[in-house]
Amino acid sequence: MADCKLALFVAGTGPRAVAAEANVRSFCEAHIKNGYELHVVDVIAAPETAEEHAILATPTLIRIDPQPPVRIIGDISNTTRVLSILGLSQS
Amino acid sequence: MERTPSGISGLDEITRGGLPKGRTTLVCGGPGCGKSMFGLQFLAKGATDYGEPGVLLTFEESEKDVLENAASVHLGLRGLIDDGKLAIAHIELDRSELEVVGVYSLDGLFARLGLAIDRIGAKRVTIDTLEVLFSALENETILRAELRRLFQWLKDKGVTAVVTAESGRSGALSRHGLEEYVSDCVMFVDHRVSEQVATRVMRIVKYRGSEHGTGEYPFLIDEDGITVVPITALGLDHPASREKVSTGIESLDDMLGGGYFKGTTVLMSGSAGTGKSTISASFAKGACERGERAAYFAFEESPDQIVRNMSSVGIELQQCIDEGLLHIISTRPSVYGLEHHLARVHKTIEQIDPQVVVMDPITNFEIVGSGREAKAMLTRIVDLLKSREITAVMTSLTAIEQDSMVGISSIVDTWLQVRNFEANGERTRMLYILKSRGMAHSNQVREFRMSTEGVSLVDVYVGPQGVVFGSDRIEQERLDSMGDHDLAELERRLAAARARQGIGTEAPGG
Repeated sequence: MADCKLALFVAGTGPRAVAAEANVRSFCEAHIKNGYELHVVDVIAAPETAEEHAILATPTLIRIDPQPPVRIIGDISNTTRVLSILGLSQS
Repeated sequence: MERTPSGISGLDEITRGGLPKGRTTLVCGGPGCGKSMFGLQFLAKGATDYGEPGVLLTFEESEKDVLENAASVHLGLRGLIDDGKLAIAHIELDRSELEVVGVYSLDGLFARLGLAIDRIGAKRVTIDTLEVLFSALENETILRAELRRLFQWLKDKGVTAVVTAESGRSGALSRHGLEEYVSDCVMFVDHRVSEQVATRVMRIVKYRGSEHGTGEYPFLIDEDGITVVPITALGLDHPASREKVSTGIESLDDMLGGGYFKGTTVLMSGSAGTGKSTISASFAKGACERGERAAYFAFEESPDQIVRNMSSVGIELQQCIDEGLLHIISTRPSVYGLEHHLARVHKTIEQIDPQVVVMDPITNFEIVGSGREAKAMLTRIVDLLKSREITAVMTSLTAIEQDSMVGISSIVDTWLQVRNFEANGERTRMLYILKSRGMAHSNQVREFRMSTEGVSLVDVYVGPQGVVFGSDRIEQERLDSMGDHDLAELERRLAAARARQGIGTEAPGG
């Protein structure tokens, strides 16, 4: 599997944002074999970036690479679903 | 609660100042009813007239779409955007790319809206339309919680907001009950078609902390956007001026003791061809000669026809038009609903600010609505004119003796009637004062002549057999100037001729 480039958009630095990031990282550690790149953006601190990427809801996880781009909004609580959306198999 | 001007012509009078400042107003309505225009105009005028920059938040339309859709309306959107007075924030909702797993909040929306507001220092925000979020996001619980948060957020941000919503089925204000979240001001716009006549109305459903009219106010949408007609109560409190305004015809001024009372409405009725339009045009011309502005609402003829016809009786109107003092507005009554006419008249009067108005003829409105409805509309117009102290002449096409249009004569201050008489193969026109409030008059009548030199009124001639006119009159005048001997001879001859033909009688119609 090619390098995976992801961007996670959260709101602020409170517990929910922290939890979202933790969720995503653990998911990536567990299921993405060939390494990944995760950028975390706080929409409140960087609204221009949010605008650039047309972010509506938080958390939003965008897979930039590999194509096609995929967007998932929500706290990524359902791992199986996320896997299927990203086209990854359960390990 | 403080109010901020809405930017919608006529609405501030109804709401006594505008929309609640720093709060949210919800505008509900069906598709094509004007809610988007409301929101857009609120922003554009806010920037242009009140120095308040604004942000338009859209979900379905891009900036390009918005500008294209509003191209026929002169709001100067492009210029405002270039000057940094208006920003259009387009939040795309592409369902195909949007996967939802778990709970979320709409902070991305808040962040971007905040950014757009801060960038230009916006004081006004329009969100058009929130309905779209409901179809894009399935989790209604989250959405509703976020909407509640949004309205609070807008308040904390200190902006005045207009939010649009689709009206629901069977009379529900909005499809998703958004009115529950907006507690300060809710308005409803509707567009009805009844018997092929379309009418737009606006209603204030709720306005916290204020007594507001609960009625429906007609409005129109044209190249200047929305214009609402504020219905004023039929005023018994209008100041009654004692000042007189010239009728434009010297002899008529004499007949009326100086002219029409300023701020009053004159009804001029009569059948076709009796000269009503000529008298009205003289009135308009008189005003222009005094340097005043006149608005001539024509419901049967085009401006060219009027200018040409009046020119043939020595009343030159073209110059008044060229000087920008006379405005002739021609419309066919049957094209629009009564409410639309009312709105147009109101709007034109606001724009031109005339001292004098002519409406010629008003009887065509009966084609559009019932006699009662037409009278109601005219009552409102008369009231509008009175409140602005505009002196007006309205012409009405009627047969002799018939009160025009279900008692319209009861709401005007002066009623003049023109009648044609035919006698001895000649036609003579007579002008009668049937009513004149506030002025002593004694059922006066004059003969009314039109020539290439204009209109003049001559005293009726009372001969031995009563009122004499036409060539009989000329004859009678000649008799009066003769010596006794010849007079007796001629009187014999005159009496004989009259006996043969019968005395000249009033003939109906023209």
